[in-house]
Amino acid sequence: MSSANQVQLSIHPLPVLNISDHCTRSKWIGSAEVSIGALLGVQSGRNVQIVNSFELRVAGGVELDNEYLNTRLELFKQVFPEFELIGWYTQRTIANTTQIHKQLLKYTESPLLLVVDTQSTNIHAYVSVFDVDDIKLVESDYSIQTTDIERVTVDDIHKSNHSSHSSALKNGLNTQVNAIKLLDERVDVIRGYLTKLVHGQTRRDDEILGMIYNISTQLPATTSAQFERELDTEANDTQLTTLLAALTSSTHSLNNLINKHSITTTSSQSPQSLQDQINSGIKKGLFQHPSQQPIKSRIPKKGAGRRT
Amino acid sequence: MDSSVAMKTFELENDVEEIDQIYSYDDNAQREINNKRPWRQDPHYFKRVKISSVALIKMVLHARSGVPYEVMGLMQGKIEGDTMIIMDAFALPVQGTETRVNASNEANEFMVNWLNGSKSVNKPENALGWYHSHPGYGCWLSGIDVTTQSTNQTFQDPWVAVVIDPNRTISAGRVDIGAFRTYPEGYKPPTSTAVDQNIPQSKIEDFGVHANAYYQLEVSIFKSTLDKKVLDLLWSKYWVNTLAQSNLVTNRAYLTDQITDLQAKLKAAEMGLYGRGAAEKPEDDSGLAKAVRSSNRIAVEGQLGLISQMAKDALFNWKGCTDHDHNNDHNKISTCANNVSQLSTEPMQM
Repeated sequence: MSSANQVQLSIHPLPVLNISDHCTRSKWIGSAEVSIGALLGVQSGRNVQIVNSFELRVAGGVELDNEYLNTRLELFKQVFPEFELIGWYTQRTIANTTQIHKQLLKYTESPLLLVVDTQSTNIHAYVSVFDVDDIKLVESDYSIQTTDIERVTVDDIHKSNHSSHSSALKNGLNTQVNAIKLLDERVDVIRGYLTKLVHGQTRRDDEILGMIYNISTQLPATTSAQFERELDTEANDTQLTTLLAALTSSTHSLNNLINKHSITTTSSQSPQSLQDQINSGIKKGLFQHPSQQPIKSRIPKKGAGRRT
Repeated sequence: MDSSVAMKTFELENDVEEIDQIYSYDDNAQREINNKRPWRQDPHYFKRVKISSVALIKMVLHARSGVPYEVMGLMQGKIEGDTMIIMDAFALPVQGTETRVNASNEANEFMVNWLNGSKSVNKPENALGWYHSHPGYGCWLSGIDVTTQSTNQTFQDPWVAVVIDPNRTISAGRVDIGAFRTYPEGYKPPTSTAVDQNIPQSKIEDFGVHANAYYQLEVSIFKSTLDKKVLDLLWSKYWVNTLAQSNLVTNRAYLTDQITDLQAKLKAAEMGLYGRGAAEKPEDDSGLAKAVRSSNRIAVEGQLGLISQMAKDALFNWKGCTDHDHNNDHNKISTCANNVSQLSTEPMQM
């Protein structure tokens, strides 16, 4: 039991979606048997990450099609050499679970099993524990791990509205807002418990109180002056890019103005130099770009936007 | 009471069927479409591409794993009217440098082996196209891509090309993906079909030459009802990560690249200005307009990153809890939000 708990198991979104796809597919195409597949991942010490998966062929519900499995593994190795076969998945623990499990010992020392219950949408992970002459499956904790790109993709799929017309602001902040809402819900639970406790409506649990105290002492998260400075620098840098955008945009407006100006003043045949045109523009007080308040007073000189 | 509940369940279930219907496969119907070849008559026949959730995440992850190189793979799918439906995708053992990915014989063997394996596990769909990545320079087809795609369209149509930019996906916080089909040789599209893709200055020539040789298809993503449930489950476990990351930090290198590119664009635009004359380009096609678009984009992405940073600062580092501080934070954030909406909606022309 203790050895089982030491395994740090993390699951990435791709295998989960892949398994979901496998189930939906077998419902619509072919027989609606239990779908069984192999899990691919990377393993370093007790740290196991499940990163991919593929379907398995099982004859008579028991015998693995080894030829197929080997070919697939080989193909995967060609593209993702770092992936190993680390276990298998199914929808529910079936009668011949251990039989299938043992067949995988050929491929990996200690296979793990993921049971993805499609009825209640729940995931249970099991690791192999070796007894004297038998293998037992022991349930293990796991975490969902996501990289930046996985998060972006999964969010996109989750929302599934791939139109570029919705506002950039809304798009960019939706995920953050949802996460903060969830955080708020969690905090509400804690607050609810504490309120009840104060009014004597619930039993006092020192362990829970200890945990709550731990969380609350972590706030504020960082107060160091160095962090403040870094954050300010970051903010200033970002504002600079905005200024750069504003300048570029004004230069563009200015250029358009000059174009229009030279069309209207066709009388002067000799082309004026750009600088002259700008100067005459300033004298006439022509530039007033509506949207750039901060630089309204400063007229960008030729190529001003190039300052990076 | 009971009957209304039953009715509702029935409706829900039927809706479900409709959504998941897309996962079924009719071999005969597909064969019939393939025999009729309606796309031979109309070079603009296919208008939409639907991509399944698994196919999308597989392609994006593969693209990301290859950075800074280009990677490529194939997609399996089927046809429904003017829509190409991508059900699954797989990586090919091919890696290239900038705009130079091409499949070799080795890849062909791999492909055949893979497809045979897929067919035996309820994935009957044929190969329907290829995808490759453009890390950092947007979704469009280069000269070589156009050649590859049009060869494929000649010999194994229906065929679609999908391009993914893993770098921009991260910086913009949404998947940057495009689907394309080439026109037959000699065909002149009625209007310019060039896509506005914020191309880096170093690639603009390659882009410009071939921009009218192909057109872009509308991309949408679909998921099954089970996917939906699973995604909810995932979200309830990983939402913390969303708050723990900082876009500004992850994108620093990319941002520097973007600003260098903006500088190149501005320089090119400046050269263009000296040649000012009667032959003016249309307003939103000039070098300056392009520079404005890319600088606005940089600024919007930066502002969004900054907003989340400040929101987190306000949430977790709330010092003193005075009203004054609170208002201050609030003001800063709303200023940023204003900037974003201004930059992203600002009209390009006067």
